[in-house]
Order: sequence, then structure tokens, then C-alpha cells
Amino acid sequence: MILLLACVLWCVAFRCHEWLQSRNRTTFPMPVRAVWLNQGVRALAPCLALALCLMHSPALGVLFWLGLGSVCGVCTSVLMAVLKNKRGRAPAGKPPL
Amino acid sequence: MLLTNNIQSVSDSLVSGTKAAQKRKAVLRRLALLAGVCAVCFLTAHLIMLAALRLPYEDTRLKTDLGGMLVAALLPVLVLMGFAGRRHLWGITLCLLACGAAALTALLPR
Amino acid sequence: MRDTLRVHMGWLHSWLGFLAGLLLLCIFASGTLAVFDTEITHWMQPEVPLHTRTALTPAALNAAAQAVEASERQGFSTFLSLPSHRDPVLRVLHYDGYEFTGPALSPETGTSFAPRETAGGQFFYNFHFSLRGGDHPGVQLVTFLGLCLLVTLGSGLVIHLKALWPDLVLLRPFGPRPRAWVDAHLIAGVLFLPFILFMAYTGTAIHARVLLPAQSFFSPSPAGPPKKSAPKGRLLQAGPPLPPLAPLITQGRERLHSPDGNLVLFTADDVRIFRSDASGPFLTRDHADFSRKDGHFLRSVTRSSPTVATMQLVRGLHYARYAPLTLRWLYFLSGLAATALAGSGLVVFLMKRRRSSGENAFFRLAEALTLTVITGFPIATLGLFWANRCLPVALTGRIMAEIDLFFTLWTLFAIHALLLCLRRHAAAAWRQHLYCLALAGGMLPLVDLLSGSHPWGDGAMLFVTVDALAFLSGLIALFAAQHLRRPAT
Repeated sequence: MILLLACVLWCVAFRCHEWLQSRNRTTFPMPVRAVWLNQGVRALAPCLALALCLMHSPALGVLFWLGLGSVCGVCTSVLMAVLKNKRGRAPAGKPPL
Repeated sequence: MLLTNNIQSVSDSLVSGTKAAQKRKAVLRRLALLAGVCAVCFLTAHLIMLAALRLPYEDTRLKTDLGGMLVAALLPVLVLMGFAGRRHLWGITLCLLACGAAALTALLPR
Repeated sequence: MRDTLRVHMGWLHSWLGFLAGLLLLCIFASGTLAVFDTEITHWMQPEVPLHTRTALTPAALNAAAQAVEASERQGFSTFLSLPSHRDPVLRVLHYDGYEFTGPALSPETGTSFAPRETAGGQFFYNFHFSLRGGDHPGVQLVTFLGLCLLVTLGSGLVIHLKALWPDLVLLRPFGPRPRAWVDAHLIAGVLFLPFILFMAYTGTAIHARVLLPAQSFFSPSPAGPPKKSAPKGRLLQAGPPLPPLAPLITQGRERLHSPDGNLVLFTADDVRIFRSDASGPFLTRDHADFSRKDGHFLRSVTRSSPTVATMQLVRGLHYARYAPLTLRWLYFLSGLAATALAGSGLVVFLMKRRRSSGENAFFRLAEALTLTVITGFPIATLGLFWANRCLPVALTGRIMAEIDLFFTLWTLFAIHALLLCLRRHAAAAWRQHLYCLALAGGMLPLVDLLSGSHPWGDGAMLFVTVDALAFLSGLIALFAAQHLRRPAT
């Protein structure tokens, strides 16, 4: 349960991070106060997740924290890509090659 | 008109030929730099392993393990710096300095 | 074009990454499977019941001692692996040059379960660190590749440094194909960077002394008379009969504070009881020694200086034998991400050069090699699982038969890839390989079911999980094959 909560916190942090990027302001417009809120959540959520992981296992907490962070990052990126695609405004970007 | 076209195509092929030659030259230069840097870095790593044998522990395996830890951390950094530092060859100079330091530590009497 | 630092590092990253990546992908994939090596061995030895209680009885230990003595008489250096929560049977093992093999006994009665001979999860463990090439050149090559990986990671970081923070979770799978592949490569590389970096570093550090032995190139040490020592896993001479093991193990466990899963090694003079690797992240190798003649306590070897502890931690974190199930799954997922990183890197390398060098013979060779590792290796791996269920249980030399089948399959798919790529049918080769992979993965649960090798009651979770993962990999391969039919946007 604790680890699940840590997962949620990581996902929220990554989502806030992605929303704060300037390329997404047209897809997900937000007022200045929301920007501040997102910045706060982005900074605090991983710290809270670390505290939870350390509570779960003091010796291995950091490993859990890093592992969950990576997995949740991938999950969030896939979710955001699907969300953007649904809104029909996915920034395709120019082909890199 | 025909002459102009011919001149244009010859000049185009010359330009592309020069470009390809330049590219080949750049790749060869990079390869030479990488080979030089790798040689110096492997020599440094070897000297570090020899220097590790002088550590004040009884167990030889422990000494070589510690040497291995240092080598695994240092060697990639040295290769990257040696390859990245091209202006005035500061990268390879740095690698040579590290190699010299390792040689002094490994070979000079205690 | 200006030769900027980014361009310079990009060249190093792509070429070193491609050349090393071909083998690194196999190393990552086998390492990922090796996280669950014990569980894979359980799947491959369905005769061993997994619900056995781990409490040891003196009768079981006496039976194990007899098995050890019989094995020693044949010249094998044999040891005991005591039951643990993860592997609840008593194993009498010896090293056959690649794997630890031997009978599995019931911890209560000492009767042998007579499991089928199999390469098991040990195969992937051995492949991961030596590519089955022994210390020379196997481990040396893997260690060298570890160094290449570290250099590639460093150069990749330099290239991507500017976009690292803003593009942390940026994925555009619905964009143009090259864009999607680059994004996948970056996502796997950046998000799993701590894991990949620390696994690459610890793996390289553990075996660095094999690559760079602490022996001077310039003044080689004078060759003395060769020391008389037995080859790995063999004994020069068997020791005296063993004393009763039960009191020794009780005493050893108390001294080492390690209640289960210990290893018991035998020399001509000693019986050595080792602390379990699952006791903690420090792989200590602490042991309590008893006399082999009369069983009296000799010494207890515990080393805990900061230097030794650092090395123990490096090993412990890499081998992950301490890890609880959740953490082991995280290791597994991170290993999959590392494999995806290598795979997507290879694909991006080819995509980038297809237009300019697609007709070049070297390019086609590179594509064939890429196919061989990206699709050929998983097919051969699933082939090993198939072989385990399809080969006769009582076949002599079963372990080598399984392994030979693995390498034969891999070679066949490599030849197939080479033939098609050289004849400019690379797309067909990709599709055919992916369909084969889909078939091998998708049908494995059915093969397992039809083999009737184990009951689907108690302990079936393990079989279901392995079968489900194989099925999932087949499904992904099928999806990829279907996707390849569509023209690129």
C-alpha cells in the first residue's frame, strides 16, 4: 500500500513536470497560480515518496524510490502521449533523422 | 548553355568530392584520437591495478577488487575527457598526466 | 558541418553504442532473466514441489551427506544449498564448468525428487557475465563491453544534456517513426539512468581484475613451478567421511545469525557453513568452519572493515540476491528497460543511415546482426523453454541438449537474417522473425499445459506468471509485425 502511494506521488510529480513545459501550454493552458502549484507539487511529491519508501524499508528505501520513479516515469509518459493524441494536438515534432 | 551546364556539374562533383574527402579526413582524425586516448587510458588502468597491489591489505583479491572499482570509475571518464578535449589537445594531455601520475605511484619505490 | 562537441560525442555514441550494443543487448536480456534464475529453474524442474516446508531434519541431512560423499568420490567438488523461502528444497550441487547442477532432496525426508536435468535459470546467469566463454575471453569481453557501455552512457548524456530536464517524460509514439524510436531510446535511457549506470559500474568493477590483471606487462613475474590445483569444480582428493551435519548447521546458523538458505562447502579438512546471500545487501561470505573429522568448531570468519564492506555492497547490489520480491520485479523491469534502450539504439542507428548507406553491404550486414540480437535472441530463449518441455525427461545429456538447441536456433535465425538482408529483403526478415517470436511466445503456455508436467494447484502462480510473460512477449511481437506492414508516416 505504501509503495502504491509512492507510485501515485511519482506519477503526479511527472505529470506536473510535463504540464509545466512550455510546449504543453497550448494543450493544457493554466493560470499563473496553477503554475506555482504545479511547481510546488513537482518538488514535494518525490520527497514525500522517498519518505514513504524509507518508511517501508529503511535499508532498501532508496532503491525502491529510484525503481518506482523510473517505472512511473515511463507510465506517465505513455499516458501523457495518449492524452495528447486524444486531444488531437500531439506535438509531432520534426523527424530527428 | 551546354558548356555552362557542364562546368556547373563538374564544379558540383568537385564540391561533393571535397566534402566527402573532408568527412573521411575528419573521421580518420577522430579514429586516431580515440585510439590514442584508449591506449593511454588502458595503460593508466593497468598502472592503477599495479599500484593497487601496494595497498596495505593482506588479501590480494581485496586489493585488486579496489583497483577494479577505481578503474571502472576512472577509465570511462578519462576516455570521454580525452576524446572531448580537442582544443590544444588538452584532453589527451590530461590522460597523459593521469598516466604519469599512475606510473609514478606504481613504479617508484615506496 | 562544424565539428562541435555534440557532433563529436554523437559520433562516438552512435558507433561505440552500435558495436557494443549488439552484444550488450544479449547481456542485458540474459541479466534481466537471471534476476529470476531460481524461479526459472523451478519452472524448468516441475517435478520439484514448491510448497515444501523449509525445516531441515537430521535424516534429510544424512541423505545429503551421503550424496555429497558419493559425488566427491567421482571427483566433483560438491556443496549443499540449504532450503530457503525462495528455494524450499535441499540441493546437492557441483559445478560442471558452466552451471551448478545436482539432485534436489526433500528437506523433511531426504528423498530425491528426481527432477529432470535442465540448464535452468543458471544458463542465463552464466550467459550474462561470460557469454558462456569462461573467464578468458568470456568475462574479459563482457567487462570490456561494460566499459564501452559506461563511455556510451557518458557521451549520450553530453549529447542530450540540454534537453534532459524539459524532455524528461516526452514520448511521441504517434509522431513519425524515427521520432518515436528516438523518444523511446531517450525515455528508457534517461528515466532508468540511475539503474543502468549503477549496474554497469558495479558489473564492470566486480570483474575489472579479469580484464586488467594486476601483473606487470613490462617485467613479468618469474615463472615458478606450477601450483598443483584442481580445475574449477573438481577435487584432487576426497576427504574423510562427514560428521553428522545437523548440529553443525544449528551451531553455524546461530553464530552467523542467518536462519536459512545457507551454503555448506566441504574441503578435505573443514566443513564451512556460509551466511545466506539473502541476509542483506552486503554479500558477506562470512562463514563458520568445523572440523571434518569430528565436527568440532574451528573458527568463524567475519570481515567487516569499511573497505571490505564497500566491495560486499557493490557485489550485493549487483547480484540482488537479498532483494524481496517487489524489488526483484523492479530490477526485472529496469533490466527490460535497459534491453529496450539497447534495442531502440540499434534501430535508430540503422534508420539514420538507411537512406544514405542502405545499399552498402556493411549496412545490410549490420541490419542482419541487429535482427539476430533483437529477435533471434528472444526466439532462442523461448526455444530453450520449449526444449525443456518437449525433450524426453529421461534423456541423457539433457542439459547440453537444451543448450545446443538454444545456440542452433540462434544460429539458424542469424543465417536467415543474413540471407534475407543481403538479398535486400530486410523488411520481410523482420516480419518473419517477429511472427516466429509471436508463435514461440504465444504457444508456450499451451505447450506447458499439454506437457502435463505439473499440477495446476498449489504453487501454480509461478507457472502462470512465466507462461503469461511468454504469451505477452508473443503478443508484443505480433503487434510489432502487424505494425511493420503499415507504411511509415
